[in-house]
Amino acid sequence: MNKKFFCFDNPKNAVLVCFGLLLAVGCVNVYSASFVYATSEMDNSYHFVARYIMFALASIWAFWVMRKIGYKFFLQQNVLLCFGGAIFLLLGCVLVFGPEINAAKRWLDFGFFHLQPSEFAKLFIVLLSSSMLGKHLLAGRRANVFHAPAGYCILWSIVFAALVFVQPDMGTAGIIFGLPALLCLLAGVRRSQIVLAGIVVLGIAVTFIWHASYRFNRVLMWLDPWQDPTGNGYQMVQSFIAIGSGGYFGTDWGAGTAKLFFLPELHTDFAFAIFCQENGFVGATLIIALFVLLGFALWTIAKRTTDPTGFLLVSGIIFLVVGQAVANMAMVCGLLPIIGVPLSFISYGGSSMFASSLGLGLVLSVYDNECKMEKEQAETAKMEQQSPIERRRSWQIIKGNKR
Amino acid sequence: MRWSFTLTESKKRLRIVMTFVLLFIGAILLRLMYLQLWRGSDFAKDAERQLAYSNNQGNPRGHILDRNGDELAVSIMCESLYVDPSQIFKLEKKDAGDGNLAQFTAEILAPILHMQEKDVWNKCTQNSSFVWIKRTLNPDESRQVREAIKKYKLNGLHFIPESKRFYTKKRIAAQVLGFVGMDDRGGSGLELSLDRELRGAISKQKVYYDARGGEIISDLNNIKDTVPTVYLTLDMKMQYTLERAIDEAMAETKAVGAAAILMDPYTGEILAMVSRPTFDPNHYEDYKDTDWQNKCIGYNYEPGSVFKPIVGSAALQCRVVKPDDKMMDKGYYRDAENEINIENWNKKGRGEVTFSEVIKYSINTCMAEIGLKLGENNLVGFTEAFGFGKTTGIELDGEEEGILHDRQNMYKADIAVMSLGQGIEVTPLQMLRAICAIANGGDLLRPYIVKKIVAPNGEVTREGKRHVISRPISRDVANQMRRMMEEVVESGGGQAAGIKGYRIAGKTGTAQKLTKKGDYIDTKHIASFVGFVPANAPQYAMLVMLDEPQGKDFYGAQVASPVFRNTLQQILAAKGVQPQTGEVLKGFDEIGKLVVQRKIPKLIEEADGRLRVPDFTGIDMRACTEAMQGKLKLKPYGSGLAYKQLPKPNTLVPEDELIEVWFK
Repeated sequence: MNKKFFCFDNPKNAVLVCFGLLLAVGCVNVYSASFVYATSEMDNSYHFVARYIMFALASIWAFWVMRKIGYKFFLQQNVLLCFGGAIFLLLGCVLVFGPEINAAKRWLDFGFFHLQPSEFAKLFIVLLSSSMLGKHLLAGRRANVFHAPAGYCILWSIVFAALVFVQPDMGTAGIIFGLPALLCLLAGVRRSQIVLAGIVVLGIAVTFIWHASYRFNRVLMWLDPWQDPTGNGYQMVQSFIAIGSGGYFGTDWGAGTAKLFFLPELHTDFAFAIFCQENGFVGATLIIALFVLLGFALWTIAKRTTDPTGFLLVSGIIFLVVGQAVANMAMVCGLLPIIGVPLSFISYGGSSMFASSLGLGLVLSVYDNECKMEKEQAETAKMEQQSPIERRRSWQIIKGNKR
Repeated sequence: MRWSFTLTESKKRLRIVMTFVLLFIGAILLRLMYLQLWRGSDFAKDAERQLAYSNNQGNPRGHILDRNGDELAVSIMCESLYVDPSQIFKLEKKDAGDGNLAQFTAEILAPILHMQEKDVWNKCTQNSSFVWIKRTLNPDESRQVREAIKKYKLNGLHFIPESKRFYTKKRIAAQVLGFVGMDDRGGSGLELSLDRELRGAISKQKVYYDARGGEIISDLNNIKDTVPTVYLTLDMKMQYTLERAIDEAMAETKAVGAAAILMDPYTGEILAMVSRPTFDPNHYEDYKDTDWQNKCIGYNYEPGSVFKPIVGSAALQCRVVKPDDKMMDKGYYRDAENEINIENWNKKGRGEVTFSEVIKYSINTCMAEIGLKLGENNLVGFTEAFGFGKTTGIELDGEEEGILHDRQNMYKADIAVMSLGQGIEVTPLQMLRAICAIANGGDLLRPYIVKKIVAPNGEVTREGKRHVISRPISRDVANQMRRMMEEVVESGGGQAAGIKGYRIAGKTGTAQKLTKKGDYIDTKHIASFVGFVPANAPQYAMLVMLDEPQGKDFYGAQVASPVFRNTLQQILAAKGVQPQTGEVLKGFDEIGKLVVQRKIPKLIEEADGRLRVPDFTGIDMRACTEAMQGKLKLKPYGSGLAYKQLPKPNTLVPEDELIEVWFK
């Protein structure tokens, strides 16, 4: 576990470095993306970046707390039940009390900040799935979507996804449904079931898209946004213009034009667009490289994990943090239709950043746990080879160390 | 094994999923390459296009300054208002044919623009999409129109920035400068002849708007200096002195016209040039087009006796006479066979005279004799060599060539008359230039008025230089003639031009004008004087011509010489040309003292915090800023003393209000 990873001593350091760099880049980018809007609407150009920094500090703190508590605590059934209930309640509250912003109810207004429970639902569903599937995998059994526990995972995810779906927030709902599905895939669902699930999901998606004209338009616009560059295709076209105009090295610092109200949701979902405009292809490549590095570090941790629950948890968080980022970038540059997925850490959004940080904290607690186990195993192995007296002595050394 | 599944297998599955993710990331990179690298420049253009609107921006016309940098003609950017009647029509149609929109627009605009309501209405209802309502509005008008458009939501009214010319010295050197007509086209004078150089280049002006239509940057008011500056050889102080002297002479003699030129005889630089009648180029359309004519270059007249030095020089050069040769003046010269009948002005003969005295006393009879001795070939040949009969090549528009005889078809009578400066026509500038050739020792120069043209980047693109066209006479001949001309002023016919303490050379002339039929009439004359000073080393050469001076005094010696004296007296003193016999003269400094500055007005602050705008009239720009105490903002136009301001005195304004003040 504690082996070298690239130029880092261990994958943990790589994760920490990536985490820090992403927060730093995000901070700068949020300011650049939002200061025009913030000056015009809030009369304070620092409105968003100040809040971003506060959320980031809170996230770092939560990350540290998570790592200390350890992932095993959260995998206990009653703890999961507690959290699950809380999130279920919050999602319900959103539908009842949530303020309507852009024709959707996604947030709970706490005065000081808006809480987006669906972001926490993503993390929770990863925890729940890895807990259930992990035990199954530990027993050496293949997951089956028609049986417990994989079936339960899917069922629960459908319940949460449905609650999010009616907000409406199809993108997040899709992720809440997709994360356990992917974990089931890792947990050994048969190929026939994968194909079946694929067909079912596709069918459902097509039906949904067909029945809501705005979704249908989004797909059409995804395929050819230029057919209506001032109407439905506006956001996509503006995103292309922003990204494309960046060229090799981008515009001058802070001189991206998209922020002049051309591209909506610039500091949130389309943060990558203004980043590409201001930093060019070189900058975009670097940010992608940062996510790839983070992905590889997390993957390395996953590969070196012997606990199936921990493995599934780390995998789920890779999908949550890196997968989501990839989906966001794909959406912004037109490879995917516009689905409301944030770019992890770069997009402005306290709930998303907080949930992702919690996830990274959990990953590092898995890493810590593995390190501890490795060490103990090594000690045991060493002692078995030693004479009884030496063994006794080393025990004392260990105890002394512990003290 | 069907129901079992291990962690190792699970990790393999993760690898497959991660591979897909990696491939997807590769796809994103390819997509970014396509968007940013392949299509990057297209999208950059799109981004620019949706942000910036570029107008064709007319730049202001180049400035015209005198040799010392004093502003004569400057341009500022104004706005012109046009209407797109089709837009109004479209809206009227939408409003169910109410038809009152044009009427409404006219009602609002007419009082602001000081126009007839009917005129505005006519313009708003034309079947067109572009009709000028008013060109080059003053800043106050365009502000009011903008406010009205906003307030009443008027449609179809648009502004285009245009350059408006201001002649800061008004009538001073009006014909030299000329005027600028509509569309920034030069109409006469230098504005016409240097139109290509002066015309402001059309440049793209960009205005940036954000997606909400908010203006981010507009560079209308901070146009970079893209205009050239033309420096003239004119000296405003000399010009002013000459203008005033001519005005006085015109008032005294009630002449119908006048021309006066002051020139540097060594370089050919025009230092001052005055033509009467004159006009104000700021309002050129209020004057007759004959007033626009520069008589100094565009008026052919018979020079009369001032032409005698030219004929005399030719005779000396051809060795027909020598200065001391004795001649007989009987008071008349008759040759019935050739129909020659020449008389002296007073019809009296002086008896035996030398050639010098012929020039000195302007004796017609002897001149006719000398002319006949010279013969038509030499006479016309030298006249041409002195630059008559063709344009001088000065950078001004509307130059005349003058009229000379065809030497093959000359009768003896023509020769005799021409020797007296009659029967041929010259322009004042040709005349002065020929005299300058005598003054400078024989060089016929090309006169010039453009000292230099400086491009916006500071590069001098054109520079006026002394240019010798030919040498019609030798240095000795020139010196001899100079001496004779000096005697004219010293003790001959031009004593009225004498300035105490200075050696002056000159020649008077009084020519009878021709009627339309071609007969000379006794009642209409052209009185002129041409001379230079100091006679031994000439620095200034000047010609004064008065057209049809009324009253008893019509001789050049009586009406033109004083103008020469009065003007040069001031100029010599001001320029520090030391008198040859000590005596101090009034200079420009005393003239300058006439402009007395008013005290700086006080800025009064009212109880409610608003400020009472003081009256800035009569104070200069510096005093204005002092009076504003930093509480108001000054937007100055022109230079000199304030004569007009906006808002008007005693208006109450908030702090930091923009006050526009016009100076002259």
